[in-house]
Amino acid sequence: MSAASQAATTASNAKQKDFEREAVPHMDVLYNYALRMTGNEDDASDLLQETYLKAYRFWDKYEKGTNIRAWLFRIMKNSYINRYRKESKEPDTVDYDEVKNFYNTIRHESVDPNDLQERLFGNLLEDDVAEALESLPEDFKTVVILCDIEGFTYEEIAEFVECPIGTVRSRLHRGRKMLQAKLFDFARKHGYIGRD
Amino acid sequence: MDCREALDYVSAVIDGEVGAEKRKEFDGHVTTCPSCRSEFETEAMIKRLIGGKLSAVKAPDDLRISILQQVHAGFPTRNDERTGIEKFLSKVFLRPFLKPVLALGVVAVIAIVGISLFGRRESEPIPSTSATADMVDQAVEHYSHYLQGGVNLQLVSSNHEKVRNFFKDKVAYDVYVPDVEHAELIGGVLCEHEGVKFLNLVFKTGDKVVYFYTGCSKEMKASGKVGLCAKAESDLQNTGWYFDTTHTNCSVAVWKEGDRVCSAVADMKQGELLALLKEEK
Repeated sequence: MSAASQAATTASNAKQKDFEREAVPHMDVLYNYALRMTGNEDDASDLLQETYLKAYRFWDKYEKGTNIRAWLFRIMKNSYINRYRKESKEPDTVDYDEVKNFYNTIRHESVDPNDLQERLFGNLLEDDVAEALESLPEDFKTVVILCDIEGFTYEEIAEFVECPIGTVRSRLHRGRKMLQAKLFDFARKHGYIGRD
Repeated sequence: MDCREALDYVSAVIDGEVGAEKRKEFDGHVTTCPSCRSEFETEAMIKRLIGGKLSAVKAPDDLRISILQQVHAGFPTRNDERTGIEKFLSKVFLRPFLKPVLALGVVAVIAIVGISLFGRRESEPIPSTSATADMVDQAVEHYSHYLQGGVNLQLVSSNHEKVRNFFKDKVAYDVYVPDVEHAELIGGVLCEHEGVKFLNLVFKTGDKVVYFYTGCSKEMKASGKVGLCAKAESDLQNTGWYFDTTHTNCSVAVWKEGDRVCSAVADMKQGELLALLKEEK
């Protein structure tokens, strides 16, 4: 073996080890995000694979000491956008009037609306919640997944999605409200809630 | 705090992302404003619901393994780009009229061209880490090690001929590279136990790895230290096959090809593995 190829091999082994130590421990978090974004395991697997192979390919672009999770996350987000924006179904829009109406409905339904909601929504299945979440527009879906499932701090989320903390806060607020409206629909369809 | 500000901070309060001061203001507001209070309680309920119904899941093991394998199999990296340039440069320098001048350089370049053209990614053989003298245990050990990303292949290639030629001069027996239908050759690496050389070959079928581990029976005998268990020897004598039952996470099949003792390890049922191997014969 020539010295040059030996050196190349050593470098490539070092890179592999580095990559494994730094990037591989975050696979679960990223898979989870992919799963909630796409709503199915096959797409999530494809997305995770694409993300890691890209990350490996561009490993020398990763700045040591910076947030590796945020870096991987951005690769995944871009991959997601490239994949799913192309097929571009318009992102689901949420009818805010409907949300408002729902509030009024809920408010008038019971003296203790929150307790009622909690009981009604408690009947929803995991699949209903996953589907409702998946149907949210991307920006809102992302912050809800990162905050409510992954348990990240606002600061971390802000770094991931590259926006100010105030935006994280307002997206979370709106995202959860949209979810509430969707879940209310599901609950009504499944007969957990009567029509008015 | 007015309603507008309170609504702006609802999420942050729920997520514990406000300072004590703001929290106090917020609490002060919602005790007097039922509408904001309801907003707060509803959003908190939605958060509880999401966290309660959708738990964080783990990436499936086979996916994890498959990604690691691709990284190990040398998914195109910047190093490959470099060998591409090396390839180009060496072609230029290989022009006959330059040969006398660059005689020494050419020797080095030929080596590089050879390596890059054949996609060789040489590394040292696996060091003998196994303490066991049983060939089957070694095979399983290397297989698991490979799945965990601990084995670097000396040669990554799906070309059987190249793999055969690459290892031909490195062992004293005929190199055995099986043709397994529906399975793709990934590459191979040599290892040594007690002076006995074993060829490790990796195949992939679907998302599963079939790991071939082959040694020479004469070498094993001569070493007196590595071999098969008595049950394996007698089964091979009687039926031509031996199936290991001591490993629960994978199936192992052993058979002989002339001087060579071959074993195949895979995470599949014994019947499936046998079907693959029979296809090959």
